[in-house]
Amino acid sequence: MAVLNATSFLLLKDETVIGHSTNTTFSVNLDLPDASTKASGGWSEVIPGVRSGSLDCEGLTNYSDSLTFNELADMIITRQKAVFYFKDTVNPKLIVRGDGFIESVDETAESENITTFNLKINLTGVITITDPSAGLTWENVFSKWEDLATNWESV
Amino acid sequence: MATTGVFNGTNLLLKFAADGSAAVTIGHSTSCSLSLSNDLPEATTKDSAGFQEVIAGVKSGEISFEGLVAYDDANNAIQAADLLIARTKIDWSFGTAESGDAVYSGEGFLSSVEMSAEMESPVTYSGSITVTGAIAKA
Repeated sequence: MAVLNATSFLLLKDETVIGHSTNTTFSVNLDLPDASTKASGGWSEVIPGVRSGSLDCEGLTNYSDSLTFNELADMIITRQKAVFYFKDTVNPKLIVRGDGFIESVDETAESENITTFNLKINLTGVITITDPSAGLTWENVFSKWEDLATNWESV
Repeated sequence: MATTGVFNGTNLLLKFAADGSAAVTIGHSTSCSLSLSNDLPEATTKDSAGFQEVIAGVKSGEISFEGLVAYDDANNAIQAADLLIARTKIDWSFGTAESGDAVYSGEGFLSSVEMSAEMESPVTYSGSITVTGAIAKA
């Protein structure tokens, strides 16, 4: 597969794209608590712990956009939770979905330069990563597992 | 008329003055920045299926600014330093002068002011404001 043009990777709140973005980043982390003991033979041992994720975005402020600094600042002021997507809109091989809060948003206005914004979203709860071209990634679709468990119990 | 399209940072102005006084635009500024933050305390429990959960906590704001020192400006490095030294609470606003554009405002304290004088260069200043209390949007 060819290398990808990053321009098609967009950050969305529900169905609304964050306007005039110049850079979007998805980070997923796994906490790895130390599980080393006297039985570890002097080697570090870890266990997989809490999974977490964040989304970052930089862009140019354009008050005409449906979603830009103003709306993101409102989300901080009202402490609004929302569903965010990070996806390749041209070649949809990857869709990241998660609920999140805006952790920070900055607007910077330099003399004789374009006004820019900087956004950080902290994801809360289950993060799903799916490949639409391959169908649902069942390992990651937690709600489907819950439905399956409920249906099984109902049999 | 409200600003449309990406726009020039020169149009976004920072104003401040002692609490209760009319805010004054900082003179000869070259840059200003408003940063809003939301503290997100961890709420992960055994019910979280191994995923981190957070709740929305304290909202806060920080403003930073830079400019060139001009002693005859109505609001410049000297006035900012005076407010810091006197530990004076200030009123501030951040926005364009165009009607219809969002203007953020609130109260705060000068948390730092710096003046820098390099040989054969304009004297510059920079500073930061830590917001206290609610931030309003008009």
